[in-house]
Amino acid sequence: MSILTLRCCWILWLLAVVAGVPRAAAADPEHWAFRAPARPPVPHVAQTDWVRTPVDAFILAKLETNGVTPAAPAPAGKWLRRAAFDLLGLPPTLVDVELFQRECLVDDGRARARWIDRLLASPHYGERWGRHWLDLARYADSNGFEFDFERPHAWHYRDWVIDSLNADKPYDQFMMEQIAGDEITPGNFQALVATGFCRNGPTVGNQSLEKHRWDELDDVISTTAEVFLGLTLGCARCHDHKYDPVSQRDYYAMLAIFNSSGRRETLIGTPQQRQRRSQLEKQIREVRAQISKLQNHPSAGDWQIRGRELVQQRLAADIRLLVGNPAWTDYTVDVEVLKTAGTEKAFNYEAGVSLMFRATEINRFYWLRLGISDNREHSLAIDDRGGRAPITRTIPGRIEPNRWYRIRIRVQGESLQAWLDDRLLFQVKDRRLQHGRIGFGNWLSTTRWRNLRVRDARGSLLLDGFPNLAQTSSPKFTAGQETVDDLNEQIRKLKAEIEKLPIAMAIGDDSRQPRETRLFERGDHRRPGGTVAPGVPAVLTATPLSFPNPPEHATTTGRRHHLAKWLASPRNPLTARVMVNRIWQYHFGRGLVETTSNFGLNGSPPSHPRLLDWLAVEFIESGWSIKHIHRLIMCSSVYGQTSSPGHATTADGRAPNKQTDSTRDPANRLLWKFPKRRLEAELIRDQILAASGSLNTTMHGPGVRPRIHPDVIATSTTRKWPTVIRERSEHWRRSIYVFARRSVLMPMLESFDAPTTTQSCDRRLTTTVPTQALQLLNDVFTNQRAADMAQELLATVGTSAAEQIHTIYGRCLSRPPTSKELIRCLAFLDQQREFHSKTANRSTTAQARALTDLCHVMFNLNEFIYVD
Amino acid sequence: MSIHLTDRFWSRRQLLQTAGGGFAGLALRNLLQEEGLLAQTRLAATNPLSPASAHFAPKARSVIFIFAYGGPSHVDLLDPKPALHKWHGQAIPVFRKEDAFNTTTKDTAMRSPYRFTRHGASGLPISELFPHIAGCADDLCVIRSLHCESNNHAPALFHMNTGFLLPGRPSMGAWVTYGLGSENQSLPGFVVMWDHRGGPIGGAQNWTSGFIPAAYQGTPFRSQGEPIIDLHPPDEIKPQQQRARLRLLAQLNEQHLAENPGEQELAARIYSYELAYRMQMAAPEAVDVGQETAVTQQMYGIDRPISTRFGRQCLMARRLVERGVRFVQIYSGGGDQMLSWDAHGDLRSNLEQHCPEIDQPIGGLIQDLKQRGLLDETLIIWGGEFGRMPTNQGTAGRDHNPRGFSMFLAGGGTRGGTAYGATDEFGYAAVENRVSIPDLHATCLHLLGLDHEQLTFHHRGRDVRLTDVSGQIIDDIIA
Repeated sequence: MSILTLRCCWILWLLAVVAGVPRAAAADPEHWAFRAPARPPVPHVAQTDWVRTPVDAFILAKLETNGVTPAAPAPAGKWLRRAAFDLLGLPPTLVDVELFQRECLVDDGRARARWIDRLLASPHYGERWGRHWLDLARYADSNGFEFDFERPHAWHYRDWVIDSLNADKPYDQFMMEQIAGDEITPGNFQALVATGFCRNGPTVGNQSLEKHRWDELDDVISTTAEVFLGLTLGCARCHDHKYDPVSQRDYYAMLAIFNSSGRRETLIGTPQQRQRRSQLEKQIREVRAQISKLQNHPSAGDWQIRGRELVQQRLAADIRLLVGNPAWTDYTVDVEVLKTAGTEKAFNYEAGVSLMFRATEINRFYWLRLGISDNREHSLAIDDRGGRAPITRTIPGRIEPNRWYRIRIRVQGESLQAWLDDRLLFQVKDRRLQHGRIGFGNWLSTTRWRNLRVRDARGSLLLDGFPNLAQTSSPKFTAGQETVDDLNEQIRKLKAEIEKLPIAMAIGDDSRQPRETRLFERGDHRRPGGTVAPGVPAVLTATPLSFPNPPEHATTTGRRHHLAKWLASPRNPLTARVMVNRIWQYHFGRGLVETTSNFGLNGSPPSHPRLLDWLAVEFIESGWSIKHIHRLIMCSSVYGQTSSPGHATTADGRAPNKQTDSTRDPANRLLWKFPKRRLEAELIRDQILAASGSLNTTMHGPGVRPRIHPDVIATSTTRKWPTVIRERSEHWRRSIYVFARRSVLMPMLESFDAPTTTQSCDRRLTTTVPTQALQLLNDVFTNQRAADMAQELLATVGTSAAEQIHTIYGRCLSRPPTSKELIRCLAFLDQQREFHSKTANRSTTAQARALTDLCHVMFNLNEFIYVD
Repeated sequence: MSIHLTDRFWSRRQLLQTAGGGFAGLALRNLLQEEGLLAQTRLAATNPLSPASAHFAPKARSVIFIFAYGGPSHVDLLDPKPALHKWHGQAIPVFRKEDAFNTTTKDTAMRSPYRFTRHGASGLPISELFPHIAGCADDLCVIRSLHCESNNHAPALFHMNTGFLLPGRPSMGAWVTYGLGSENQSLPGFVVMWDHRGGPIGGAQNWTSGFIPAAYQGTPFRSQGEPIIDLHPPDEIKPQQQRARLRLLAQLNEQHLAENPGEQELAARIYSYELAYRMQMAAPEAVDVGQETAVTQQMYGIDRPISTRFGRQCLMARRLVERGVRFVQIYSGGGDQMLSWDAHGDLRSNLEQHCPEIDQPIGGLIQDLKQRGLLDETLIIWGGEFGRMPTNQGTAGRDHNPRGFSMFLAGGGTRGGTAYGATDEFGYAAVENRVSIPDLHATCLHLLGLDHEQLTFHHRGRDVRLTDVSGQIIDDIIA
């Protein structure tokens, strides 16, 4: 490995030489991003009337130098749709657009400023920009890894982000709380929640190894450095950074800051709330105890003798009834069974019908299990006090409902045989159980049994028909006992109650005494080197940052607080630049520095370095107001340009010829037009919900779990997502509220490039593949939303087709249809109504179906998911 | 030297080749042609999955990775250890408590209950549990000296699939598809099939594209019914209705494109709908094993209840690679833990359940590929996330073993009839010609014509690789 690493370095060095990069630069502390920004003068430009905010002057100066003309302004409607998606992630209504257009006629500058304020004041703003931040903060609601345990309190952090952004919390404070909220305002619930930033990374939940702790801390410091400093510090865990002047010692100095911190689940609330928590926890413990008791005493069911039949009608898990004599050794059982009902709920391995034999105890027996594994298999298994294992391999097979099956079991010494309808299913040898009674089992199924006969080895009848149940000595027959399923449901409810309490998934220090931190050779904790004092990367400070000892009464080391203060210092060369660049990226699809989380030597150089610095200083001087930067950017002419200059006409009627611009700057780095962008995964879903009138705008709270195709849920080991047959309003929340389960991401979001949530994601990729088209065309979600939208239109708009089309265009594209589109859609509706009237029995049904078809087409349009 | 996505342009010739590829159901295309809607602009659309050239001449074109999830026992299947008979019931000196996952694991040797016999001209010893696979001994290249860095399922699965212990990195299938694209645009380039009992721990994180574009993530294929979720509209949507919808969609999208000339992404998206429409025909056709002769089906054990499911999946895999799919991964074992190869409790019932499920299907797959002349260009990989302890857990089980385990490769330019590397006399730890997971990955990429040091994606300030900072190609196993 060392040889290879050396070889890599050599190659890199060689490449650097070949590329003409002076080698000294590789260690250059004078790299632009490592010097604090100073406010540059706003440049002079020729076309002064184009300059609406100082941002324009910087952009235009560069365009003019390169002889490129900016594109014409976007039409008002398109501008508003762009602005609304940028700030809210939801489309404007047609009414908004028309109002805005009228206001623009009077004074378009003022109209835009007013609408930007209006949008910034909407609570949807925090949901839209919170999503960006959650990408950076690798937010998820579960651990990842085996079992993928849920994080029931993680959502408080998501809500804190949304609320902070809505309140335009100064960015320095926003940042500081995430690193050291517990130290800055001890005892403050929101500040504690903020430190969830340090808890969001994936964690191994089923094993506790020292290595995992270092990996988790690595995630924290790598993410902190990337997100706030744009520095890829994680590269220095094993060796000095290959590109940046960051040493391995710098990495461990940062580690020394976080090394004393650990996980906390802290409840800060009223005494009543604290009491409530202990109560609930006690109840959960009690129910759990009941469950473990029940698992040794499985469900009773409601066995009854009706005529000559034994009947069980309760649909619950693991219902058992034992009859006969525990001393029986070798015998043959004949019985017939009919399944009256059974779940075919996907991915239930256990559900089925079973016959037990040689049952020495209620939880110790052989059993023939029929129609298990989603009614696809039969199995012969042993249950030894909860330890379940097939004795031999399972075989494919079903149990059809409402059909009598004949079962025969013969046990003779160690030989076990089982027949179903005279077909020998299993024949094995096993000597673990030598004697015992027989039993009947239902697992999420209901049954009728008849013609029971048990004969001993010589053929004498041991049992003919069912014994009187009242007299049975079967230990588990206590009617009315609750099933494990019911109890699990109780636990779920109790847990949901706890979830509502203000419990922060936070971090905290053990004491004021810091833990010792050592440098690990090659990043291997088994090879500790010398001790390392806390610090920040040396290249970023003139004098090393000092970490004074905390006061005597302190309960934490105070180290994170010192780091936070340094990050938020106006002298920090990176913090403000990195953040304004992120804001720029989320507006224009690409940052002024394209590598938004890497401002190091290996990152891309800024396209407009002076603009970046100007914005950074402006950001700090505005009191770190993110909304202020939005205004500066969005009120500008550069933001207001059209995205399709080929078709725009300029105000003075000049024939636009963008040929030259697209040749001179095909990548649009100079921003001579607005870049058209595909909506992010969440926004595609949100817009479908909004357009169809289904969007539930409830904010905050535990994550929701919309429908995921059961076969997708099955791709993980155990059920990690509930089966939703039909979605309801509670599922139609904005996608930021969708429960982020690391092992089961929502397919629709995943395929449209939503991040995997395991590492900080600084920029969404955009790929286009046919499986996305299949989803939008065929998934129940789009089809159902289209159908509901059609119903709603019929109810609210009425039966005029032109009106309907007008409304559909307004909702989906924020514009009225052109006359050509109107004609085309009218013809389409006619044709589809005609088609559907052949199968629909009522004309309104045909009409609704035709409208559904049109709405469905709209959800799939390029114009629907690309913003101009 | 990462691959630039924007370099992947569709030439008119390529498009027509793909589109005119002989499938009967090109209705959308015909539909669009009828209406004169086949805009020329589309032909320049970018497609992330279009075939890309390898770094050097490849030996293999495609991969079938059969993942025995749960950790199959190497000392009972591929790595015979007579010493375990001698030491049976006695503590072995190499055992270290911290290697085992469970605290109940003992340090006493447990001999294999199965016989190993030498097979083929090469005399490769293979367990009696794999009679059909043994029949292909001269095509197998068994690596007996693998080792990995976690004794815990989830990190070990991620390690084997993505080269890293933490989730979120691109899987090998994603890297390969990113590097080479796919040769059939009417099917996904990277297909995953999972066990009927459920998937592996970590689910989709095992076939994720991580931080490289989502276009390269594995697409789950079901082995029964419609292969791809959402391949067809819900039942209540009639074919004629869907066609009408698509026709209007195409018209409106073309009009929009005309208003936005030169926007390649828009053109690409229109094209993706054509591909999707074609996939509706191509995917069910590709997995329709009913088109195969009874003899072929029997080769895969489809006629036997025990192997019918896995046999179908193997046959589907062959049909997919035959049609140009780049990477197919099939999981054996899944769902609840005891349903995977995770034989903690009862080794025998576990192996006797799983081995007959996959033995004939895999043997059939190798033979079938061979007789069709496809084995040379198809790399088969078989193995799990780690091996099992040569000692006993409880009375009859074996615990996880990350320090030494076996996998086998077949076809795709590997040297058949080979056993490479070795564990110690107990099968406890790899000692000779040790092979790390990055070594295995580097070798697989090499067989596909990809240089593992050049196949990179810029992420978090680095050009990230499947093999991170290591990976030695195992030259000795390459034919």
